Amino acid sequence: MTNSTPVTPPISIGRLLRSGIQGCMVGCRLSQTNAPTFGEMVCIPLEDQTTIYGLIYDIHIDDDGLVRQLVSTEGISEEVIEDNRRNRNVPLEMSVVFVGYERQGQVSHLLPPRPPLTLDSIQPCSAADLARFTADGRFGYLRHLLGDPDLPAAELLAVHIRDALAAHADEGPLWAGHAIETIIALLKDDYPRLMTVLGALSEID
Amino acid sequence: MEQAAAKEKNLRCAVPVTEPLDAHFPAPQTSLACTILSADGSQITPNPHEAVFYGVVNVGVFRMQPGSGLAPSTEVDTELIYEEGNPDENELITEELVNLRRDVRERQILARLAKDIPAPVFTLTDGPLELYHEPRENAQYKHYFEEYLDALSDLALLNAITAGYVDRPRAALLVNLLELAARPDAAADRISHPFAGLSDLALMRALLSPGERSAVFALQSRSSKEFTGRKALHFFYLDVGSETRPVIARVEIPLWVAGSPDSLALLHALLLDQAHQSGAHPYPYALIRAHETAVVKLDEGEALKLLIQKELLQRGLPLSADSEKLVNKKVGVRTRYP
Repeated sequence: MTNSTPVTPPISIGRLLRSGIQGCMVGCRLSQTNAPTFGEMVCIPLEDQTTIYGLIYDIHIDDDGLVRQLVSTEGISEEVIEDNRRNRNVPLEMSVVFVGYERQGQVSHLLPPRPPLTLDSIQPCSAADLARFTADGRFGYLRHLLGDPDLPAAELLAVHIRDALAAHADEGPLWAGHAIETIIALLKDDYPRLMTVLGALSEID
Repeated sequence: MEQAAAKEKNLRCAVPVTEPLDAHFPAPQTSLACTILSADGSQITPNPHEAVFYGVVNVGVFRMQPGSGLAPSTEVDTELIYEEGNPDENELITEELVNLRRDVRERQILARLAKDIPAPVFTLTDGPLELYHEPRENAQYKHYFEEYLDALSDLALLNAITAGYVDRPRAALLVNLLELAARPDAAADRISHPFAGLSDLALMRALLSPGERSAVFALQSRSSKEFTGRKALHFFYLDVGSETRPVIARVEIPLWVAGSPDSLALLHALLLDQAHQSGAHPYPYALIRAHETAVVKLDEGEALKLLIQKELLQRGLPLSADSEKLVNKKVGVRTRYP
């Protein structure tokens, strides 16, 4: 476990729509400058000095009656497009799976003690946050990703390991080797799934 | 017309101005570099059977600059309505009064915002500029109506291109005018309606091609005389639809717009463009968004009621509850989606 101060910049990328112990749904506005990406690690600071960490495993953009009406409109103006992307309802929803939390500088790979609340702010994690959360060496959080059959685990792990590899800088290759060994151990009784995950991991540059 | 209006207090019809009755004008080619301010209101009417007697007027404003490429913006103005002092000593806060306050608020907010925007600026609202609320002899009605006229005067000073958009108009203003014209003696009582059943909508569907507007008419009605000087009410019809599906709207405008050919041309072009932006169901996009911004949802109303109850409890007041009648009315009402 690591003792240090989180260095995540307090820039919100969205707010909580609904949550549970294992994950949450976040709504955010579309913006090219801070658009969240699949597999990105995010955190939710709570009032009691706990910070919940999670990975984005789905991003989707819902339609509504007006959008359905507009898609067939010829010559739709740039202002109307911008209005629908930036102002209307919640144009973009992200699903986040929780992988652990941090309280008083102590990182835990257990699920958080309580879910965050509606409209809590969600923030992107910096490389330093990502390195600190994954530096533990036990990789306990990987079971949250592999244990849920509804998650796109292979793709999610590939993106996460690529990001963490970069975050750990010189220690990255060693860290990634240990991470992959852990994944193999966790999936040793599920050969087809293991092959799918390793196939995705082989795509990492 | 004057003779007929003097004889028939509730006469409501079109009055020709300068353009021929059957005139129709194609969409003008003009630049739409402007700012649109549209406002729409939503309200919670106080219900004496609810646990808390309160109302809300929520006005949504949508601001857009066509052709700028900039994202439009929205804002909301919320007014909490409640009785002060002893309710028995106050006049009842009726649904009509809340609706009137909503209309006044819309106009006041548009006038306030338009002050800081360079011309040309459009202020659009859904529905007619004329107000229909009753009772007109009521002191509160008169007070708010004066405020409404004051806001219109402010818009007139700014030369803001102001319009009320009436979708699928049901009035027979032109038909009534034709009935008057068909009457041999204008001063005689109008005892028959030879064109009964005919609406302006039917006339305009036959007259207007897509994108065209009708002639501009003045409005004769019981309340139109209250709109004096540059505020005098006028209107024209506009087809925002297509060859296969005409969509007729009535656009109410004050004299300061009706009397300005440039303003009229800009408004004509702008409304067509706005309606086109909404796709298969042509209606000004800015009004759709103002409505969407304003609307108070049922769950939001419930949440507000809980907040008020919580505040009252914290101030030591006893917990209030719905009336027995309302509680029983709510039995069996669906509380969640299937």
